[in-house]
Amino acid sequence: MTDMALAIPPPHIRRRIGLKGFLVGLSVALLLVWTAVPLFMAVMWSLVNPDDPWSPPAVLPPSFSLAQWEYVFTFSEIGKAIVTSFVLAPVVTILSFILSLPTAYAIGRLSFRGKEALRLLILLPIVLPAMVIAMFLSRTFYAFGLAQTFLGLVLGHTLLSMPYMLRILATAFEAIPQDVIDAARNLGAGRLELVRHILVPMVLPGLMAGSVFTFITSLEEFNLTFVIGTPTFQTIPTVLFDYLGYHFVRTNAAVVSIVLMVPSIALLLIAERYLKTEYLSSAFGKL
Amino acid sequence: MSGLRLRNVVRHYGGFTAVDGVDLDIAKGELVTLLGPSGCGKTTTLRMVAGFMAPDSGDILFGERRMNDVPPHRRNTAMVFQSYALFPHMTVAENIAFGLKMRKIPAAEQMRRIGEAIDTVSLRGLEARRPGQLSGGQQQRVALARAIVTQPDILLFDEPLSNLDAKLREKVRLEIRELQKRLGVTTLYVTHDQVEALAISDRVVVMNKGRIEQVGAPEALYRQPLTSFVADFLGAANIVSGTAAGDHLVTTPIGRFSVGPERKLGSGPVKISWRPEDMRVAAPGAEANIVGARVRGVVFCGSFTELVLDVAGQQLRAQVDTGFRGREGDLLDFAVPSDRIRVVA
Repeated sequence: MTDMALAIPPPHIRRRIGLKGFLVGLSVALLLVWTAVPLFMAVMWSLVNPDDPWSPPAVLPPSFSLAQWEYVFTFSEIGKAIVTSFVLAPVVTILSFILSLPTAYAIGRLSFRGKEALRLLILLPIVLPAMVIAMFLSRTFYAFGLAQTFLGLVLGHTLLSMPYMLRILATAFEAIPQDVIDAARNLGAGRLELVRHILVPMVLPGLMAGSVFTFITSLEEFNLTFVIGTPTFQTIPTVLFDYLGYHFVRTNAAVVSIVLMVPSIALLLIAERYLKTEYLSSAFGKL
Repeated sequence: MSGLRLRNVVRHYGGFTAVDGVDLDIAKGELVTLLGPSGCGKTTTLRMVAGFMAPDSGDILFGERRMNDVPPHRRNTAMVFQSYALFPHMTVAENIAFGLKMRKIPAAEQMRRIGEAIDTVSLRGLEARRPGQLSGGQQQRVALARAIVTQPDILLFDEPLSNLDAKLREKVRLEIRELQKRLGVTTLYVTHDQVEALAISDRVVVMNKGRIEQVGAPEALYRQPLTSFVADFLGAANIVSGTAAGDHLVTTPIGRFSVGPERKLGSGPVKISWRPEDMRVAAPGAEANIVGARVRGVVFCGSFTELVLDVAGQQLRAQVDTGFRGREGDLLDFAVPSDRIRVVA
């Protein structure tokens, strides 16, 4: 073969590279529009100087100020809402973990009739429209005196965010090869030692990832919180709703959006790191 | 260290009988291979010895001690898995240390034995790596080190070489055998690869459908198969059905064969078997055990040439030396020495 022939790939390969490049480019462009643009716009809007309005055709605000931030933190319940949100989310995460553990183990490691059906059933709270759940669950919560209580919020958030924990934890348990467990027993590990030295360390990355998803879901939950929690409890999303509804103020909404988005994005990056753990990565293909 | 005895061991899976009355005595320090096709019960037998499953009936004894009700972690066996089953969250050293840690061996002693094991399998310098950072061959060595470091009563291998490439497989096979001899540890080895079984074992147990078909030293098993299954599974075999016609004579559709003198035949249907390498192009004028065959295929295999032959519709295989100059379509006479023909069940 001549150098010439080597240098120019045959047409079918060239076409594939072209298509691949196009698809990658398209994905990156979509992702940018999808995530980076809203985030960028939120930051811009939150920094608008009230004395120097930002209006078309200006691409960027003419001057920046922290006035919107001051305003929101002074005149809204955002401070209290942040505290509520960040107390609620860890409590929900821990409760989800405790409630998920036995089921996740059973789905991941045992075989029983109806396992696949159960696996699908778990996802139901995610699949159903949250507003629908909120509307009808609220009746029950009022009946049991759980509405307008912190416990009610914890239970409601747990219901909506536990599926992530359950699903990821079950997958983490499932990802442990039976051979590895047998090897540990073969080498002298009794039940407790097996749990301590093999099961716990091996599901830990899944547990961390599940926790992050559960945490974020609780952090961003609006519908149920709005129906059963407000006005006694405000969370970051319900504060945001105040600015989007009757008193629509884009600059203030931008401030709250950033307060809501930044921790979520940071947590997602952490989750991504844990999901990358080599012996889990194969199993998470089927998540 | 102790011998291993299986007494009429039976194990069912639902309606399927995986192991159907296995009796086996393995002497102290012996390496015995369970050989057979998948589903023959060899792995189930191994797992029962390890204690991962219990026999439905029968006994498993280590030395004189009945082990049926002893949980796996109290059996002091050590198993090398096909998948290696290394602990992915531990380093090489931690993997090897695991069995010692479970046995509560003092730290200094642990260090010494881990060092020894690492040297034995030539893994120096890789102690701090995790399994994911090792090649398949290196992982295999870690699995081996992790098993021997515990000084087990019985060493168990479940197809340990099947994930290695052919070249490495041969090398590791020799290393395992050499190590096993040096340690003198009683070993049960499961494989479906007959070459591996022949090369590594003191004795080979050929299993079929949950039962032991034949037990013997590699060469005896190869030379004197008792059943057509063993003849066919260990190496290649030409198996021909016929009728006994006198003490040492068998009539078959492809001719009459006089067979070795060691067994008297009665009368009635029998099967005879011989190895492809025992078939020779007949010298001119030879009369005994001659088969006139049409050459259907000539395959050069390096050190020999494999022939596919057709005799009255029956396909036979022959291995001849590479000087063979026949071609496809030739009609040739082949001779089978009578002392190489086995009567099999």
